[in-house]
Order: sequence, then C-alpha cells, then structure tokens
Amino acid sequence: MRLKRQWLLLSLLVPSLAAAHDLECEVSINEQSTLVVREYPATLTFRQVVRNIHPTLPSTLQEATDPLLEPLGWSFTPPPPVAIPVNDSRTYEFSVTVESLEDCARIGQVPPSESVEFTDTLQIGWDQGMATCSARVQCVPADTFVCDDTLYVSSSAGTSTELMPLDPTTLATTPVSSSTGFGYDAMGLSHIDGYLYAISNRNLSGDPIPHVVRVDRVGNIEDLGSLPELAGQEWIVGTIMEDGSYVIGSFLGSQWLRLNPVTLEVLGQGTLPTTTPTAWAANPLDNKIYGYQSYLARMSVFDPYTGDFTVFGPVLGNVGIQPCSCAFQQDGTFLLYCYTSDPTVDALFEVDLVNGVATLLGSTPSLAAGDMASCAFPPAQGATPAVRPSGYYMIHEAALERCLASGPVKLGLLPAVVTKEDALRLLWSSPAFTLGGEHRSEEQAARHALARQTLTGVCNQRLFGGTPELQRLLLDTTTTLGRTRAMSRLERHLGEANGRGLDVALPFSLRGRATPSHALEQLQPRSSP
Amino acid sequence: MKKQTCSRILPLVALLWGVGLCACGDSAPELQRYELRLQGTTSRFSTTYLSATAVQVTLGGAPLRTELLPSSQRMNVANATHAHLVAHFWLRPEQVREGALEATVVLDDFGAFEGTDGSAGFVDAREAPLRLKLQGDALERNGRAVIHIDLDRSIGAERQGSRPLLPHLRLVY
Repeated sequence: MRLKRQWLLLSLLVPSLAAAHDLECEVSINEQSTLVVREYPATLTFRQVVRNIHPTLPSTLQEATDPLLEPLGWSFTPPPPVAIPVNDSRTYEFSVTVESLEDCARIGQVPPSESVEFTDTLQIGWDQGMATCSARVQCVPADTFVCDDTLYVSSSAGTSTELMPLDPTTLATTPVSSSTGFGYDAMGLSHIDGYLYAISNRNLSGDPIPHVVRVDRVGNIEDLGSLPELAGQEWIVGTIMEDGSYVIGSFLGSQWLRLNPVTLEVLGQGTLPTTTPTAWAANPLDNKIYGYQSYLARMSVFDPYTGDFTVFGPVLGNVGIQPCSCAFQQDGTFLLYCYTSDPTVDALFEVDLVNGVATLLGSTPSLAAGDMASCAFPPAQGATPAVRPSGYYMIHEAALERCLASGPVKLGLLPAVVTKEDALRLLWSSPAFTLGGEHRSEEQAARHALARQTLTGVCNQRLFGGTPELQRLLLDTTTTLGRTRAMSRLERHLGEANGRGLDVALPFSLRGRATPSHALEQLQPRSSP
Repeated sequence: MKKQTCSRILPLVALLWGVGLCACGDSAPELQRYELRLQGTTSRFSTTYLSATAVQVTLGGAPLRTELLPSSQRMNVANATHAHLVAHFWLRPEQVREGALEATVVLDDFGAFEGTDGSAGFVDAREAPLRLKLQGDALERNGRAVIHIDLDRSIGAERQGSRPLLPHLRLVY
C-alpha cells in the first residue's frame, strides 16, 4: 500500500519535472512568415519571439542559434541563459539590408538564381528540450529588361563599360548603367529571361580567362564564371538565338561558341572559315546570325546549328572597312552601327538583307569600342510561362492523364512511363527507396531523380508549352545516361526549370482538383520504378 | 566467443570513431540502437504526406552509423496518433554525454496536403531539412527521440496550389 502511494506520488511528480521548462518560438520577417522581395535595396527585419508556455513556472532559455544570421552578426539578445516568467516572452529583432538579388543569395547562402529562396531557422534549447521555428524569404529579379525594340549600345574601355539605349531616330544615347569592374562586349539580350548576357574580356577579378556576365536593367552585374573554352580569345560578338542559347565569336581566332547562358554548358563550337564579323545578330525571321564582314565590307549569314557560313550581297561602299555592331528589330529590320573614316563620328545604317543596300540613318559622336543588342525575338507570352514542379503532378491525376494521352514518356535506361499509375509510382517514390522499400544505390537514386524531373519536364511541355530552356535540358537527358554526377547536375537544372513558373497562374482550362490521397491509393508496389 | 564479438566490433568502432584501439577485455563496448521518429500535430490538415531521403546523426561533429528506414516514406504526419520511424542510429550509451548530438533529416522535394477545409495541394520541402539537437541523457533513458512538427505553423501560405514547409519543431523523448 505504501509502495503504491509512492508510485502514485512519483508518477505525478515526473511529468511536472520533465516539463519544468517549456518554450516555443516564432520567427517572422517584416511581419510575414513568407516574404517576397521585389525591390532593392530592401530591409529585412527578422523578429524572433521566444515564449514561455509553461502554465505555472518560469522557463529558462539555455541556447538560441540561427546559422543563417550568425555570420551576419546576429546573437540573440538578451543572451541565454535567460529566465522567462510565466505568460511572458522575449523578442529580438535583427535587420539586414539586401542590396540586390545576388546579395539575397549571399545572405541566404544559396546559389544565385533568378528566384532566390531561403529559410531562416531559429533553434532554441532549454533543459530537456528544443524547438525550431522558421520563416522564408524569396527574392525575385528587380529589373529585367523589357523585351521590346529598344537598341542598347555599350561603350567600353579597359575594365569599364557604359550601357545606354540608342534612339535610332535621333541617335541620342542615355546612360542607363555603368560598370567599372567589367569591361564587357559580345552582348546578347535574352527574350527568355530579360537579361543581357555579355563576355567580360577584361575585368578586375584577376582571372586572365574571360568571364560570362549577366547584366540587368539597372546595371547589376552578375559574374557567371568562366569556361576553359573562353581562354586565349577576345570575344567581340554575341547574340541570343530563338531557343535562348547564346552564340559568341572571337576576334583573332575566328572561333565561335554556342552556350546555354544559364548553365554555361557548351552546346556547339567551331571555327569560322574567314574573319569573324565585327557585328552579328540573330534574325527573328529565320533564326540565323547576320553579320558584317568588316574586312570585306560585305554581309554574312551563319547558322550555328549546322555551322554553315556564307558571305553574301554587294560590297557596302558607304559603310566601308570599319568595325561595326548590329541588332535586329522584332520585324526583321537590320540596323548596323559603325565607325566612320572620321574618328569622332559613328554612323547608323539600315541594311536591306534582300538587295544588300545600306541606307544611312544618321551619325553621332563616336562611342568607345562597343557592341549593340536588342531583344529581337518576342518574349514568350511576355513573361515566364507557367510550368509546375513534380509536386504538382504527384497530386493532379487529370494532368498526368492529359500528358500521357499524347504518348509514353521515355526515360533513358528506365522503363518508359505509359500509364498514369506508372507516373504516380515514379513521382511518389523517393530517390532513397523503391516503392517496395528497397534501398537505391547512389547511381540508382540519381537516375530516379532525373527520371522524375524528366517526366515533369515533358508534361510541362505537353500541357503548358514549356520553355526553350526546358526543351534544351530535355534533349540533354536523352544523352546523359552514364555518370552519376552528370545526372545529378542535369537533374538540378531540370528541377530549376520545372520550378521557374510556379508563380504564374495556370490557364483556367488546366486547373484541376488536387487529390493527394486518391493518387496515393493508385500506387501498387508490384514493380520498382 | 568473447574474442569473436570483439573482433566483429573492432573494425566498426575503428571506422566510426577513428580510434585504433579497442578495449578487448570484459567491458567490450556494445553499440546500442536508437530511434528517430517523426510525428505531426495539426488542426488544419487532414493529411500531410512527407518522405525522407537522407538522415545524418553526428556526435561532436563525427557521423554516427545511421540507417534511413522504408517507414520514412510517404508518412502521413497529420496523423497525430502515430510517430513514424524515420531512422535508426547507433552509439554506446555512455557516449551520449561525450559531445553534441545533432541530427539532420532531409526530406524529399515535395509532399502533399489535404486541408480540413477541403483544399489540397503539394508541400514544397526543398529548402527545409529538419535540424535537431538531441539531449543525450533523455535519449539514453528512452532509446528514441521523436520530432514533433507543428504542421499548422510549418506549412506556409499557399502559392498557386503549393505551400512551403517552414519547419516548426520540438523534440520529445
């Protein structure tokens, strides 16, 4: 009897001892749990609240950590240990200024991309317990170029470059941005993402190899890095093709490269049979590059997909043997901007590509050696097209049925996805295990993850039209079969491409009901996708 | 018999701890298996499916032997009556106080939810590994740590049919 009473006493005592301290936390950023930053600079105020939720006793906060903010000088104030009375809390605010999208990625400790997202997590500890709480920041581009017929010219000297719109009627220029760290050339303005891509042949990084840079409308420059293929050449011409690939040409070696400007993958390369044109631009009407052969004073046309290169038309005597730059208008008008025999004056011509006649539009005081770019191809729907990540397809069976109605989706070495059930089995199984519960090897996991993104990408194309970037990456999936690292890299790029249009609403006809539990019921672990 | 046990443990201990010595006497250390579980609480969601793809448990920064289990797949964490077994990990009981015990659970990119209000969508867990500090003595006493995830606060605002996972966690034993 006595023993029983002791047990009773103990059982009453133990829970209260175990919960002698009890805390919870809360994080908000500018008073929101998910903050979207669209303008820069922006001030982010992280508000962290630690609350005592013990009904009758004070609780002592023993530890507070925030791995994201600690490198920025954060330390919870008042510093632990701190006793928090009943019904009370401690609030700490910490502010950070985000200068740009790139800066947002730096603060978030994530790779720079077009939409940077990161999570801030506060972890608190007390005697016999811990808790975490989180909030998210999403940074989107401040200022991409509006894809219209604006002509942009650059004026570059050494490691400095000024970028300015050129009015083809008045030939007036208005500086929009300048850089002292990157002397860039070979510009191409992408209708896919609204950024201007260029090669910085000279910069302050100390790297002798030229770098690919990305410039936004307000002049922020992101150094995208270098490639061994860029070494030893000065890249003077650049243009964006209809599929968003970036084609550049070098001055002395007459070399050309076709790049994916986002991933810096080399999609094609070669050497031109003659000197590189000093000006080239992709024609929106036939997706070929038209250039001016300065030493011949004639026009050329180049197809970077076949390597075909032809010089055509008469000698343009009124343009002469001068370095030029050029750009297309969206209606196919070809504009050529050249030095003249007078070193203080530049001239703008319109060249008729059918009869090869150059018409002088006007002249203007000379700019330093530069390039010209325009957004020649119409932007895809004026904005990012809607695409959805694999999570969408996990729970939208009708979307999967519509996607597969136009045929099976081939997945390289893995079996093709034929039925909705095949697709659901692939989407709902993780890279870690098969549906049957077998561990996947590292290689199998990479193959599975890539297959999931491939199915998602193909369905994005079939249902929503997809994007040229997606099309290009899906082409790569058909050739990437082997190495785990290559598969993982491609999987990451595809994942980004599949997630890029998440903020864009779907067309009404494609909105369907999400049915997660029903989708899960369709899984039958008879095979192991 | 004793010798055999020791020779079996020796490489494992050496591998895990970088310690080249093993006390091959009567007190040969036995690794004990511990559980890491995940359980959710919610009043807003009738189902929430999440899968784990990787788990790591470290002692003083050094990785312990861990095993992610098939029961970590497609866990309905909105079911508050079940603590899903995510992983096993191994260490000697006396080690629990030898250094900071930390666990990280990486979730698969996407999960799914159904709200009690009839809404449904997918959970974006790409940015949300679950990071935890374990209390060694509580772990030793109970043989397991249960991650409690407060889904009402962890599943963020809807964005075109998806909701981000912003982990709000507590650990119980």
